[in-house]
This record gives sequence, C-alpha cells and structure tokens, in this order.
Amino acid sequence: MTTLKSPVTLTIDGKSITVEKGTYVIDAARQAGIHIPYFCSHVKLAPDANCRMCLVEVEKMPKLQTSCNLPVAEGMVVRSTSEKAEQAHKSVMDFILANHPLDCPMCDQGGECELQDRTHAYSDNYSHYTEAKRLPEKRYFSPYIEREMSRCITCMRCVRYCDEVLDVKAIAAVNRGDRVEISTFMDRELDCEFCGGCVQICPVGAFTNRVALYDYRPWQLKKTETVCAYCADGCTLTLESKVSENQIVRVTSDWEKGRNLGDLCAKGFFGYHMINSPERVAAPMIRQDGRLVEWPWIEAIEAAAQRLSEIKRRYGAEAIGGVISARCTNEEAYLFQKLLRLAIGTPHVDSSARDGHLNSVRALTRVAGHGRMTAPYEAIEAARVVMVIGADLTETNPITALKVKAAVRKHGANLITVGPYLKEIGPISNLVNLSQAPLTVTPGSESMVVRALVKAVVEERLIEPSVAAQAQTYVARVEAAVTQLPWPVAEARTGLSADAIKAAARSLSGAERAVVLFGPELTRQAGGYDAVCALADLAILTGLYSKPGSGLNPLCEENNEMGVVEMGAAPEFLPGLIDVRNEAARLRLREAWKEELPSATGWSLTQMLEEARQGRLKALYLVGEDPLGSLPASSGVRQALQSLELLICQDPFLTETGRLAHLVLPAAGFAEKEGTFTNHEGRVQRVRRALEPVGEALPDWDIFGQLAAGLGHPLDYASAGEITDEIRRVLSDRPDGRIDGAVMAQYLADLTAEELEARYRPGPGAASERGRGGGSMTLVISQSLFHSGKLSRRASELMRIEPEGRLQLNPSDAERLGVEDGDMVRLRTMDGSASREAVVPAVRRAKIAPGFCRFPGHFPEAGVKELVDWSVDPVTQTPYFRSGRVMIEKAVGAAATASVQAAAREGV
Amino acid sequence: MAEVVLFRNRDLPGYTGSLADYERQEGYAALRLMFKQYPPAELIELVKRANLRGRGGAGFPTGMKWSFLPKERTVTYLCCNADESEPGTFKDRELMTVDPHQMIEGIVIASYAIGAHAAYIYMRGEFASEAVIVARAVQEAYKAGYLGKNILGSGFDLELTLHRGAGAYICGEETALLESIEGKRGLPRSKPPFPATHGLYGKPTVINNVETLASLPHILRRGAEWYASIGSPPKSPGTRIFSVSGHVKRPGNYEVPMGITFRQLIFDLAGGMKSDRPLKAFIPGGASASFFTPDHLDVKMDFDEVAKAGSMLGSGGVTVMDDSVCMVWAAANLLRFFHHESCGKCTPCREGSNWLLRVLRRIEHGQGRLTDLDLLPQVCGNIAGRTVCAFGDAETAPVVSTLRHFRAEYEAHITRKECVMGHARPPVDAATAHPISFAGH
Repeated sequence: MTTLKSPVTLTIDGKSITVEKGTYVIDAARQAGIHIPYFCSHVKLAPDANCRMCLVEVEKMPKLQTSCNLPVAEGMVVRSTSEKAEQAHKSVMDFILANHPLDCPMCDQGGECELQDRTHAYSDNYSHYTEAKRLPEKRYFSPYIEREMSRCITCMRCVRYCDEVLDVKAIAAVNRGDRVEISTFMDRELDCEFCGGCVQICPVGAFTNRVALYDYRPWQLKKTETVCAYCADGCTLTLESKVSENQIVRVTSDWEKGRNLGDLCAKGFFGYHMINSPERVAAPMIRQDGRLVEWPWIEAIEAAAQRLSEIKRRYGAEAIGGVISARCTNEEAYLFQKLLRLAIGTPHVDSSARDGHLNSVRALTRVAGHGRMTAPYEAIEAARVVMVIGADLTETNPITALKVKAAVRKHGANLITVGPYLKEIGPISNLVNLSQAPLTVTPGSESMVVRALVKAVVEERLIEPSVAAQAQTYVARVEAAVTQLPWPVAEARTGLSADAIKAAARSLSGAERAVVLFGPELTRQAGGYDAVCALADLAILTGLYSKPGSGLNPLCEENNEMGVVEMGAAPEFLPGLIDVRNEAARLRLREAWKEELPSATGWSLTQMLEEARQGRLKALYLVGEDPLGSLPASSGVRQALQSLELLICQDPFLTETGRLAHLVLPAAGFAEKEGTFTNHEGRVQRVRRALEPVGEALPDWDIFGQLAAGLGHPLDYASAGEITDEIRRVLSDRPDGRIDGAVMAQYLADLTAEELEARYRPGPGAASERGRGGGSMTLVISQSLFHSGKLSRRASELMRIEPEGRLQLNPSDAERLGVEDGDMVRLRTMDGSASREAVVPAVRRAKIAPGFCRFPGHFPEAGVKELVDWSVDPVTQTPYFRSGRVMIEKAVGAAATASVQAAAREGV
Repeated sequence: MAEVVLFRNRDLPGYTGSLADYERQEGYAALRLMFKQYPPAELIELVKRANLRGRGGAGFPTGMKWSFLPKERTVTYLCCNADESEPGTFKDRELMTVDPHQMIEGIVIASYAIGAHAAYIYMRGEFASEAVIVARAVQEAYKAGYLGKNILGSGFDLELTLHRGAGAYICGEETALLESIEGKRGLPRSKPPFPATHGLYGKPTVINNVETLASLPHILRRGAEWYASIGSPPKSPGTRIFSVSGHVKRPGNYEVPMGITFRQLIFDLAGGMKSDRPLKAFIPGGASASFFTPDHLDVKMDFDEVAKAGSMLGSGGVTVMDDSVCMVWAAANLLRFFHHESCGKCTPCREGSNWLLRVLRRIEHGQGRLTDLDLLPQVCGNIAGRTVCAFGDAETAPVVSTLRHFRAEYEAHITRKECVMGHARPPVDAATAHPISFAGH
C-alpha cells in the first residue's frame, strides 16, 4: 500500500478504513470493498448528489447523508446497511422506478444496465407506485445517438460529461421537475463532437448507439480489448463483435483502463465501419494486360519475390525501396526494415512518419535521446502551465485535448494556446476558450513565436538556474544568436506584441510544472526541423527537461508514428533510434541479427520518389501507403510511380496508388491482427485480434515473412508475439522515454554558435513566409476531428458526419466575399504564369483568424492540395505541402472540383 | 400598538419612496454614521448584539451568518434575495416598492460589513413594475454617491446590480439563486460547501433577504440594544412583516412586534373572518409551513414558539381558510404548485411531488383508497430530509399536516367516493390525467 499524505481513519459498516484526506465516503467504501449503491456518481465526474441513492447514516448527523459528496472525517462512523439507510435505498429505487418504462427486453442497455442491477440488489420486488406513468413525447434526436427519454433517470451524467470532460455543452436539461428532458439548444438535431460519451456514461438506455440500435444483446458480443488505429493518442478500445458474422457491432471503452480512461472521440466510437468495409481488398491482384486481376496468394508471393530478385540482380539491391505506413504495428515495421535491409539488402526504408514526425524525432533525439513526449498524460493534467503550439488539439488529438481540458478545468492550470485561432462557442470544443491569454498569431508564424519566446526567456533572465549554471557556453551562444532577431521583426511577423510573448515566456518558466505540446502546424510547415530545434532550446532554457512534471511533447497524427521510427523504418535510424552511421551500434545489431547490414545511406520517401523519377529506383514496396492520393501533383509523384518497373502495394484497400501497382497484396486491418502500437507518449500497447481477416487478407508481418521466404532469406516467426520478443531482446538497452542526460550534455557542448545563429536568423523576410501562391489568404491543409488521413474515408458513419471537405474561414472574410455557409468558393493560386484553382464549399468558423483559411486534408479529390507550396526540408527530407497563399472568390453556380480536373490542369 | 419600523414611511402622506423623500426621513443617515463610527468588525458585533434573525424563512442569525466568511478572502459577494415567490408571502414586494432606498441602504451596510464590493439584487422574474422602481432607485443612489466608487467619501466602493429571475420558484433557494446569477440553470447546489466559503462564482458570499437588509439602517441608527429589546426578546427580537391572505376581512401586510399571537394578527389586525364563517385552518409561514388549526390561534408568533407548535414562521405568509375549504383540495392545490416548481434535480422531490399530487387528486375526486392514507405519509417520509434542498421538506408539509389535523376529511372522501365539501369537480378522467403536457414544455 502506498503511504498517504494525510491519512484519515473512519469506520464504514464496522470496518476501519484509512484513506487520503479529501476522499469521499463512497470512494473510501469502495477501497474497502464495500459497495454503496449510486446512479449519478461517476469516476469521470465531480459529485452532483442528485440521485440520492448513496444515502448513508452517519453518527452525529441527524439526516442521512449522500456519500458521493461527503468528505471523510477522522473518527466518522458510517452505516450503509443500517435499517434507515437500506430503507432509503429502497425508497429511492421506488421513486426512480415509478416512471421507468421497464422495457428491458428490447432496450439495448439490457444486461449492462445499472438500473437493472440496482433494482435486483436494492429494490422490493414490487412497486408502491400505482399511478399512471409519464410518457415523454418521442422526438427525433440524431442519426448517431438514440434518445429515449422515458428511460431517463435524470442523473445528468451525460450533461455533466459533455460539459466537464468534453467542454462542449451540446446537451442540457430542459424543463423542470418530472418534465426534465435532455435536449439540445432549441431542440435541434444533435450537433456535437459525437464522442459517444453520453451513450457510454448513461447508466440506463436513455442514450444508446443508434448506429447499432437493436442489433445486439450485450452479453452475446465477443469483447476484444485493443488500441485504436486512427490517431496517436493511443486509446484503449473494446471492439465488440458478433463472432458468427465476423462483424464489429459497436465500440466501447473501459473508464478505468488505457491511456484514455474510457474517453473516446467520434473516430474511436463511431469509426469502426472501416474494419468491415465492403471496399476491402479480399484477394491478391496482379496487373495483367493493364488490368488488376485476382491471383492466388502463393503465386502472388512468388511473383513478387521473383521480380524483386530480378531487379536486384539487374540493378543492385539499392534500386529497391520500401515505405511502410505508420498505421502498422511495431512488429510489422521492425520486420519490414529487416526484410528490406537484410533479405533484400537495401538501405532505402522509410515510413509515413516522414510527414512531419521525423522533424520532431530528429531534433529531440539529438537533445534527449528519443522523440517521445517527456510529460505523459498524467503530467499534462497536473501541469500548472500548458502551452499548445501549432495544433488545433481537439481536431488533431482529441483525447490529448481532454487532458489539457482537465488540467484547466479540474486543476486550474494556465493554458496558453498559440495559433491562428480565436475563441468560438460551438458544437466542437475549442481550447482557445479555456485560455486566459491566448496568443492568436499570424498563420504560419508559429515557428517565429517559438524563437521569440526563446528570445524573451533569454532577455528577461527567465533561464532555469540549474541550466544557466551547468550550460554556460550554450546559454551564451543562444543569447548571442537571439540578438539577430529584433523585436519589431518578431512582432511584425507573428502579429503579437513583445509584451504578450514575454508574458507567455514568464508563465512558462515561472511554473512549477509546465508542459508544451506542439503539432503539425509547426512540424509540417516549411522549416519544421529548425522550429523543433528552437522549441527544444525553449524547453531546455525554461527547465521543461529538468523540472519534475514538466516536459516537451510532440503530437503525432497516425497511431504508430512513434513506433515505426523507433523500429528502424527510417533510413537514418536503425531499431532503437540508433543513428545508422553509428558503427558500434551497427556492430551490436549485426551480432544480434547475425547478418550484415547495408552500408550505404538510405533514401527517405521524398528521395525515393525523386530517385524513381531519375530512374535510379526501380522497385517500390508500399505498405499501407498511398503517395499518389496524398501528395500534390507538383511533387511529381505520378511520374515517379510511373517510372517504376515494379510497384507493390500492400494495403487493406485499393488506393489511388494501388491502381497503378503491378501487384496488390491484401493486408489485414488492425482489428484482425496482433502486435503493438506505440502512442506519442511512447507507451507500447497491445493490439489484439478481434476478427478473422476479411477474405484472404493477411497481417502485414505474415506477408513479410512469406516474401522473405520467397526471396530465399527466411525471416521466420510463428506469431507477432515472437517478433515482439525479438524486439525486446534487441532493444533491451535502448532508452525507455527517460531523458538521456549524456545525450543532452553532449548536445549542449556540441551545438555550434553557427548552427544557433542560423536557427535564430529571421530568414529572408516576409516574402518567403507568405508563400508563392500570391493570394491574400493563408491556406492550411488541416486535420479534422472526424477523420484520420484517408482511412476514415472508409468508415461509413464518419463519412455521414463529415462527408465532404469545407473551406473554413472567418465570418468577416466570408462577409467580404459575400459567402454564406455551404456556398461554393473558388481558390486560386498563381505560380509564375501557371494558374491553378479548386472549387469547394465554404463554412464560416469564428475560430479561424481573419486572413486564414483551412481545408481538411482528408478530401484530396477536392483539388485543394494542388494549390499548396511543395518543398522538402533540407535536413530531414520532410515533404512540406500543407500551406500556401490563395485568392478566394465566390463561385456562383459552380460545382466542386474533382481531383481529376485538378490533375489534368497540371498536365500529368 | 407598538411602533412601526420598516413601514414607518409607508403611510406618510405623499411619500413616494424617491431618494429625496427617503432622505427627508433620515434616509442614508445610518450610512454616514456607519462610515464615521463603525469599522466592519464592530458593525458585525452590533448586528450580533441586536440578534437580528433572517427574514427569508429560516430565521438564521444574520451577524453569525456574516462571521462564517473565511478570514482570508480576496473577493466577497453580497446577494439580496428579492425572489419572493412563496405563495401567501408578499412583504418584500411592498418593502421594495414603497421604500426601495431602505433596502439599498441596508445592502450598502451589509456589503461594508462583509467587505463586498459587488452586490446583486436577485429579483423575482414576475416583479416587472417592481423592477422598474428598484432600478430607478439604484440609479438615484448611484447618482447621489450612495453606490459606486468612494461612497460618501469613505473610500468604500460598491457596485450594485439588479438581476431579474426568469420565473422559477426554486431560485429563491439561495444556492439556486447563485447558479441563476451565474447564468446557469437555477438548481440548488449540494451543500456543503456553503455559500459562505463557496458562493457566487465560487467566492465567499452572503445571501440576505430584503426585509433583513431593510432592518439594518434602523439597527445602526437606534442601536443594537433598542432592537434587541423590541418584539419577542431575547430570541426573536424586532418587528416582522406578516402577509395575511385568504378569508379575512382586511388582507394585507402587517408590521408587528414579534411575539403577538395569531389571534391578534388574524382577528384584531386583519379584521377577523370574512363572511364571519368559522376559521378552519391557517398556514402560519408561507406555503412551505405546516397547517395550523384554530387550536393554534394563541401560539406566540416568534421563531421558537411556532416551531415548538409544529410548524414554522417561515417567510411570514399567513393564509387563512374558513370552513368552506376542502382540506384535500387545499393540499392538492399546494402540491400542484410544488409539482410545477420542483426543479427536478434530485430524485425524491422530482418523483415524489408527482406521486403525492396524483394520489391527492385521486382522493379529491373520490378515487382514493384507504391504503393511500398510509402511502402518503410514507412517500412524504421518503422525501423529507433526503433532498438536495429544503424544497423536499416544504412539499410534504401540507400533506403531512392536513393528514394530521383532518384525517377524517380524507377518510370521508375515500369512503363516500366524492368531495365531502361539495366542491364542483371536473370529470375524473381529466383530473387524474397528468396535469402537465409533455409536448416540449
């Protein structure tokens, strides 16, 4: 037992119990194994004491007390089973059941209903109530969530969850007394984040999942606990399936488990239809006479092996490259790089984590030895100051956003949001609303804000004393470097006053515990690597690396970006984030693997495409990757892919790239395989198989094994677990998320004045920051709460919630353009003499700063991605294709652009 | 008759309640005296010595309420509870309209005592014309320097905001009142914590009734000893305004010293029974108080004597019923009110008010069962003392007390299957149907 800070001893039902001061009696009882009945109380919520079910007798108190909000006191004597208390429990049951319809046989909650369970345990077997039951009028609520108010026991858990946890308030109680109903503003159709929290937290069947309405009896479903495959928040899910139909019926999550502790977002709760999507590829396909035709597995593998061997023989192994999706498991990423590096013998292995995450890993590994969050979720919640920079967190990482909300709302943390965002009350929560002094910046200037913050820390003497003492040379060099950045320049470019920046710097460095989270609008924008390096300076100087409970946290988009890089699916890293040039480490790996590693420097994804165009890369093995669908035409991706002699696409779906492939291999989805994912905190979590793979699909690791055998270089594993074991063995000495002091010391000593000067030089000026497009509005391709890459496009319910991309812009800009919600707008860029355009529907969002607009990146067919600037990071080879300058006008009577037209204009 | 304190200006010829009129009657003199002579701590002591007890209903000692505020506090709020909604009570309404500055002066005094620089008047939503009068008075007070920055050159600042309710009875409950001011649904909070530590916007807050606050200028001007000596000392000093309604000849507000008997109030002051029919029952302190019978006419009207006799002085609303009134109807009628006003937050009150109403209506309409007479007190017992706020106790009082005093009348309704008082009845079907439609309201 852990020692208590201020122990309080009380007696409950004759049992002496010692708990922490401030504990509520109901929780103290639970710790002692005594169950006091309740309805409205919930581990996620502040006590409300409205159901009155948890009444107990307390000595020296004349009235019965609600134990859910009664703090323990020394010497308190509580009775939950005395005659008086038991009579109270029965009477509350009598009241609650008075108007309950008891339609249990057809209620979806039947079998997991708290009211059923309590009735069984605490009620007389008959009701004293013989009057007519109330029958609320049934009214339409939502396509996704079913509302049955006759079953509601008015515990308000749903309303409280929506407010306290989500900070949304999409639902509320209306009317009074026994006419209380849960409804939306003006009884409109529910418009919210669709996190499913109200369904999950409802103790009865008042809110149920309408998508699965009457589809199941809970006890008949097979429950598989696994990890979500959408974003990197790493939520634990319970996939509930019908075994006979091999179908997921619904998703739930245990309130006491996982990193999410039961909280989910729309993707987790409603996004499961991609698993059983009718669009899944069921069998391998080979291109014959220009068409893809189904082919038996054994021959498809043989064909793949043969053609790879042929290309290797003819052009050398280095003419072959492979890219794996960061949605694959650690085991698959590990095996993939082994397949390429050992079985094929090529150093060219990369992953989709190249798209931004490598900027974080490369920068942070230099500083701390790894690229994980240094402040886990618990630390975010407990922080006194939280800064979120370069991410609209609710949209990009909704569960991480909940931790930030909890920090502010439950623990009173000071939140500083940095981005082109304003306050907005709406159906989707907005962290800016919780920030007392949000920094609303000029779009695209986030990296300049970071530099200015460093300047403020240095100039205002806010440097953490231990750092100032131990790293004098480094501090002096930073001090010298920031002098190149005059305040007027920083102010002009960020749109912030120096005072605002200094105030934020003071909050950050003065906080006992501070956490900085940063995301795609920093890492996926030109100069991303330098920006993360500057952010690391900020973290070092303000003590984020040294103060307990503080940290610098990179945010990832795809579920296993952290893992695939750590597994060595990157040309610059061997498994364990070992620099591929580190001879000693290579030697150790060679011993473990008992094989020689290729010695040449590998190519990144962007380099591979370039080399393919140049004719040096002949074969590309894509696992779950669809560069044609993702990258803008200006990247030359189509020419690159068409130049290949062999293109293998291994994917659960037939993607745009897949349609060009010579060979398509059907891969199992996350619900159909075993393995592990590493979330952005660095937590390695088990992925479990819930279903049999669709058709003939196989887990990626299985396909790699078969292919290796076909190549005459067996990589034999009987299960994913065997690969996990090998990873553990090989990486036993690698860092586990702790900051590597030796690495940091080395970094501080090695960092040259020249590099620092380059980092803080304001750059060639406003012209380049504005982008090439020439328009007056800054366009950013963003992430939506309801989507994740293009995978969510296969999830029917998510597509119902957000079926199309809409250009979000500030109402003042909309007014200037004469645009209302749903109106078509034409976006145009001029690059030299070439003009490109896309026509998309617009929507007004008060949150979006004037002059800024964003379009969700999940809808490439809209052609908006063709309007952005394309560049590649000189250090990390990260492709940048998410922002540009555009001209916008109202497009009267125009239809939305299709990607085909956009591509045609490009002449590709 | 003993002296009139709170209503002393009411009957002055030509008195309009304007600032000028009020000032002519020594208005705001207490304030000047206070700034000159009383530091806040001494002011609190003064009110304690006067033993002023809250006039909103519970009769809690005002000075003690003030001293429950935590020593260390940054922001303190004062709320004047002007949400007078109790059926049968209409004293604050007259106090506010006849002499609004008396209340405002009291608010400034209380705010100064507790160190509040922001105060709110939470006024019942239905008080439309009253709100105009009070708003005008607040404006006058600001202009004259009795509110705002540096009041009367004392260095003390106070911002006073008039906040109007939206028509819910429950918002007179002090924590529901706070929620309502905060812009939330007016639902009572679960206590503890109490408003003294966690009140408006989570800050230490005092909530005082209009009549309580209006008493303060007088205590200041005339001294604690004077106040403590009038009325029914030592425990119920001072005068009290009683609102008399129902079957009396002269209904209205009567300011009397605490401690007179109900007989004096009903028969001497209010002129006795209208139509000279015999008195059957009366409610001594607003709809939340238990019924009394003619046997209780000589009970002394102070907090403790009324409590000892089994009811409460509550908000001072005395409702008188003659022998034409059916007691089952009276209970059902009050339950119709309580059912309509139950906020719905906690189970026993929400479900219980509906249950009680339905059973009472059945009995009233001749559909009762003898077992109902055991069921009613049982349901009441399951509500009272188990709810978030005192509303639960209030809604059971009419049922329990009419059953106690008039059980035979209930039994007669049941056995004779009709109203024994011969009241005209709507058809039974319509009456037993749910009283409120659920179609969206």
